[in-house]
Amino acid sequence: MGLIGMGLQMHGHQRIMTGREDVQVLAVCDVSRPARESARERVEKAYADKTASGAYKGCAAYNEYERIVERDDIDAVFICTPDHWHAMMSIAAMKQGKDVYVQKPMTLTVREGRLMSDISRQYGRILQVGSQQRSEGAFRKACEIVRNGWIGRVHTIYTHFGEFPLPPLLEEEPVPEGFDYDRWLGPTPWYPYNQRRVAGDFGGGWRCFWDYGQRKNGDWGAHHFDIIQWALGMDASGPVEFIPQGWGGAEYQSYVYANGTRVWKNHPVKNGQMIQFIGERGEVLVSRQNRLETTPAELKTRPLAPGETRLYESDNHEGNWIECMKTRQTPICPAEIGHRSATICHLCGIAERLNRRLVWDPVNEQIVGDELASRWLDRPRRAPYIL
Amino acid sequence: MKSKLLLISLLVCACAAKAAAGLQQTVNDLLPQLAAAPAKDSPSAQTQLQQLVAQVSRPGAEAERAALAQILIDKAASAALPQASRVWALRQLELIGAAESVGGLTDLLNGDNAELRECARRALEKNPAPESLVSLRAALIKGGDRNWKMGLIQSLGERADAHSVQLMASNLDNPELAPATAGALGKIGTAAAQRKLWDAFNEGNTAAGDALLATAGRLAATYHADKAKKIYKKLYASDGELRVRLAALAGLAKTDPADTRLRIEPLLHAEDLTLRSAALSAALEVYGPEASRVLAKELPSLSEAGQVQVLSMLDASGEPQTLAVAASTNLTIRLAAVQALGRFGDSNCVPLLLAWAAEKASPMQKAAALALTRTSGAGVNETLAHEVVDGQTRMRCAAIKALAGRSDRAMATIWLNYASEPDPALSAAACEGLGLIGTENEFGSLLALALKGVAPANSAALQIAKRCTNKVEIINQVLESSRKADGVRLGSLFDMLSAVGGAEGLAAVAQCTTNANEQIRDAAVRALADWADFEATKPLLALAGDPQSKPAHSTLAIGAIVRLAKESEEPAAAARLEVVLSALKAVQRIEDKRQVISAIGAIPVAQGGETLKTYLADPDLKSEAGLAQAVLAESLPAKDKAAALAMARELKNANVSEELNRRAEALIAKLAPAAPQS
Repeated sequence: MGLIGMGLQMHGHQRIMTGREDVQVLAVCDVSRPARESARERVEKAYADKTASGAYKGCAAYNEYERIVERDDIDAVFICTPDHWHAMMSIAAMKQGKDVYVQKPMTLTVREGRLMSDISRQYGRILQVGSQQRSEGAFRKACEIVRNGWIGRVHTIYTHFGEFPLPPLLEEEPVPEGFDYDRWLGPTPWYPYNQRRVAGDFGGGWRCFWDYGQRKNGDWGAHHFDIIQWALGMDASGPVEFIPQGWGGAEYQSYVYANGTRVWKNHPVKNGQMIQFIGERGEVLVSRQNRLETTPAELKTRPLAPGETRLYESDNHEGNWIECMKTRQTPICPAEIGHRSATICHLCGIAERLNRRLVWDPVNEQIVGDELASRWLDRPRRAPYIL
Repeated sequence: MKSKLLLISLLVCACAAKAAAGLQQTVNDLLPQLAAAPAKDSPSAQTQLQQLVAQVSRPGAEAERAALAQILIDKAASAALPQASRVWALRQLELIGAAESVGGLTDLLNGDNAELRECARRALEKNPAPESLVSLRAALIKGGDRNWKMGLIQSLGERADAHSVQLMASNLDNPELAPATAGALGKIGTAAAQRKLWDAFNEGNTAAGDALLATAGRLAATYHADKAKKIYKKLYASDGELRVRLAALAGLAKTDPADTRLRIEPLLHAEDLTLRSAALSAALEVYGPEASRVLAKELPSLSEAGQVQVLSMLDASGEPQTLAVAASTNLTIRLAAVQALGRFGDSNCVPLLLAWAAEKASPMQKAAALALTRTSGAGVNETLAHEVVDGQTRMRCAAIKALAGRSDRAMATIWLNYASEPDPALSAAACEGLGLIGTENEFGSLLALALKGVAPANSAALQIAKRCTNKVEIINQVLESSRKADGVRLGSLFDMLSAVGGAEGLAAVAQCTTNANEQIRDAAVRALADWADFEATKPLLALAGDPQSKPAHSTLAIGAIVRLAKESEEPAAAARLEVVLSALKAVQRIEDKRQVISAIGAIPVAQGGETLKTYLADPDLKSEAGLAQAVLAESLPAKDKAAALAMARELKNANVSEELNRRAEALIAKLAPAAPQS
């Protein structure tokens, strides 16, 4: 396996991958020399600790992901870069016969998602999107409760995940030695370097900039919108309308499915939970750390009866991907699902930035009746980083 | 009428001119701020310009859009403006530029300023005016370095510009530009583009194969399946890379199912997992809902690995073949078959699954038991019910567990009889089943069995108590039973009240803490001390403050109050502190007092510090008070910074221990760093 993007998010994955008996990490890749060298050391130390001699060398460290993709002895890549690199790297890897684990959100634009999903299917590659809440029992149970109609028709959903600060106008700083800034920017427009632009930071960093993602929509939104899609059985489709905050006096941003179910973004959620499903006969509240509350209370322990919808079971997101690589089964969050969830992130961002209601056709994947808004469905790319 | 129209037209023109002037002024004001060094209002200037662009891009605002685009291209062309402002203006033209901006963008595309040139290329790529393609083509002819040409090729490809095929094609021989060119030609996809790509493909250009796949995919999606099919067939039949040929097979499955069917069978029997996977994907595509039936027929002739793969894809139509391979000597195949039966198996599968489920614990036994609880096939419940009555004991037990896992309550009354049977295995299975599906209706009987010492009945009753809806009924039954229970059984009865929880359960247990029967009293106090809800602190406080309480009961009560105050998420911290302070007044023993003081430190409310400081000089309690004060000061939220600082200083002044002094000093240094030396 090759690991690409050796920042904060990769640390845990790297530990898990080097800890598995059925995985051998052969290469790491990062545009920061110190980051990739330190990652190489960590990988080699992990393997050295397992040898009798206590020594191990055998992990390459690359600046260019292409060096990993072109290696015949690497079967799969693990991608934890900023969002603007996800599609390009994933597509290149899949075309070269590699399976892919890519962090959420799967893409930077809607069009990238369609392309990735089609390529994954056409080239027969196993792609898992890092929407790991699908592999948490409480979220699965919450979705099964909703999906099986135990709380009646769900008409309203609240989710809350806050907002990043707006990106500041930054002064130019010298590019640090050993940092390939041009490659960090990749397909996105060129801007003078500033450390705050490229910082990997769960509280902001590059995630604040629209150039590299959809801000919180693509961060926590990617997780929670994904669970909502799962619960509503909309994995191959999506909402039909996106309404920004303030539009028609709306207190919160929202989006609406064809059956009228409305999802309110950043609306307070009861008991500090992450997602609240409100149905005609009850409620489901769910968060990480297996926090699950239901009304009526017995729903959360009620077993599924034969014939009721039983959702894909995985309790280990990375493990599920590895197993599927071996069996060639579909993983729990394949490209089409990742694309549909990321599309919601993108359309929330577009509606927010255009400050107007968007009508979405999830079948043809087009914005309806708004030609200029449709331009936002993809972005030009900076050469040589082209799709 | 004509004069009226003329008047309206003049009014519209006047309004448009006025609007354009307004836009001009707004842009004039905003652009210099965009390029300024970081200042407080800079982000707001960017946001304002973006909002303006968003506003004019709305449907029906064409005149405003064109006016703003014209202003922006004029600004971008102005060398008098800072580079950053010009760049920002060009970025907006990606979103709203049309014919009016092509001229200006073309000038910049051909200019010397590399950054503006790149911005112009991006804006032209998104510009729908046909003239934008002329400009991009001309720039490609003019040439430049590798990246520049690659960008232009990409832009023309994105626009599917049929007129640039010939112009681009020469780059297919250039190793640096060949992949980008192939990609662009693949997007253009005309017959001419395809010819160029086939030539390149035949000469070994690997990117050309991917590009042809992209073209075929686009043709198939736009109702040109016949054209797509030809490409897929040719690619599949080629001696190109296997990855491209298999991708072509996936496309062929969509566009020519009849032809693909002929190709699937040999691939299914391949040793290579990739080939088999490609065949299975193709089979799903071409056979649709019939795929399972077709694949099931192939099952006996497949390799072991192939059988496992196919089993995971079958539906009920493959049941006979699945049952046949379930007898395989290969454990992996047997497990895959059992998992498949767990999806669709009907009454025919029950004997086989039940036999495995009744075995000793093993992966196979576990899989079979799970399959029996899950399968939605016809007649499963009825067959299982028959086995419950008629089978051997181990089969009866497995059948009871399976029916319970399927939430089938039909036999609950019969199981109650089994629960009191002398056969311990049958009794345990019946109790386990009732624990899963039993209700208040079975609770009383199970309770009675529990009091007779049938341990599984106790556990089943406890499970029912946890999920019951009629709490009052359960509580009454437990209290009634407690009158007849001995000391040993009382504890578990009150555990049931703890499991019931809620106000009713709490009230019942609290009342029993004053019962005349000492055993009942003791059991009630212990149940109360284990209570999970914060509401229990009220009777616990009463117990702790009652001079008649046994010392052991008071200590249990204090320990429970401390636990609930520390661990409960609700109510708010201030309310939890209030309870702890009441407990502090109630406690007698010094050890209990220490516990309560430690709890004050665990509740992040500044008021707790007021109490703690009164103990900082107490020789018996200063260690606990000091530690609690340190923990509290360190955990206070940012809004209580002043209080945290004051607490740290008090702690330092109290000089309780060296360790606490160090913690206090560290906090003081963090919250009130010393002024820099001048």
